[in-house]
Amino acid sequence: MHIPDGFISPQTYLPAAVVGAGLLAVAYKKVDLDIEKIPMLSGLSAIAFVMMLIIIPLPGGTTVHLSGIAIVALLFNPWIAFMSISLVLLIQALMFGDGGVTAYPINMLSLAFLGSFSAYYGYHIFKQVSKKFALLFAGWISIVLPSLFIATVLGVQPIIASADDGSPLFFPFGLNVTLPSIVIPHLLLGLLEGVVAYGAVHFLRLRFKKAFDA
Amino acid sequence: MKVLLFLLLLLSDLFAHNLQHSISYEKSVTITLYFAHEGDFSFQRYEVYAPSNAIPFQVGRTDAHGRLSFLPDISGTWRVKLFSEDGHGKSIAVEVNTTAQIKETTSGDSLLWRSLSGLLLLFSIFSVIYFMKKESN
Repeated sequence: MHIPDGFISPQTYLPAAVVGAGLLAVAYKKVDLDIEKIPMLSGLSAIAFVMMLIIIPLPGGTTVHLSGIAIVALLFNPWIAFMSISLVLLIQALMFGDGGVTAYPINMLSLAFLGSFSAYYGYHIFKQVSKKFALLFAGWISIVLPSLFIATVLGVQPIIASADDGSPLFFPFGLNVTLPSIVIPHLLLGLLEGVVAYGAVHFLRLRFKKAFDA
Repeated sequence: MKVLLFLLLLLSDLFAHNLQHSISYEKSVTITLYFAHEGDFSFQRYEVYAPSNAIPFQVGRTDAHGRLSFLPDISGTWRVKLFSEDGHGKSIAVEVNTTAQIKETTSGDSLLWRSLSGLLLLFSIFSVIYFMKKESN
């Protein structure tokens, strides 16, 4: 789900960079992380980093990967998750070319911001009904909503930036292609992400009860 | 006689519609794309651009093994752009020298190397944050 360089027009990534920088500034002001929780946060960020590296090939030539964003968002809070996942995405973009540098603001807004906040609020909406279902839903929505955002951003590129003859200058496929090819695989992957989020959050809250109750 | 000449002229025109071909075996640039296994980037769209040229030199789709091949005609940095419908892809620079010899390069970053170096960097950053926070406290 990491968009590479050359797919996104400047008309898209420049405003996204401004919004992303603003959100990081808000996060920096809001986050007051307890020093004792930093090792746990670094460990969970590392898990998210590795989960994003493991690629699952699907029939039809597409691939997907888990993210672990919901785990960080639920065990800490969405602003901390936003900052830590933004850091993970930055390392992936700068060191390994997993996601482009110009596309970084879009990847940050979709995965780090939408993924973290959708997981957090998704959990809090459904936790009164069932905590188990709320955890599964949080994992599912943390994958599906970013995939919908990325499919939309990619799919509107031919409309936003095209040559005089109408040929697209950046990503060439429209919404009729991007929405089904990106969102449908992630609807299924979300189920796996939900199970992983449920297992990880449940285990870590039990095992490190003291750390998360503090 | 006039009719015969007319028919002969018509016949010569027909040759223009006869698609000719020649086969040569030359060194070309072959790029193989894959995520985890060979063939999992098959039949995906690509564009090849000659140095300093905005119009594609070649367009097409990767073959069943996720490969594409092109024959550069000038030296310089050629660019290959790859797109899949689900938003994956990349832009690759291919260096071609004056004798049309191609320097072989691979991305060479294995999953293990990427994981270890990325984790090392991540833990280093969090360690700096930890010690800065400890210092300020």
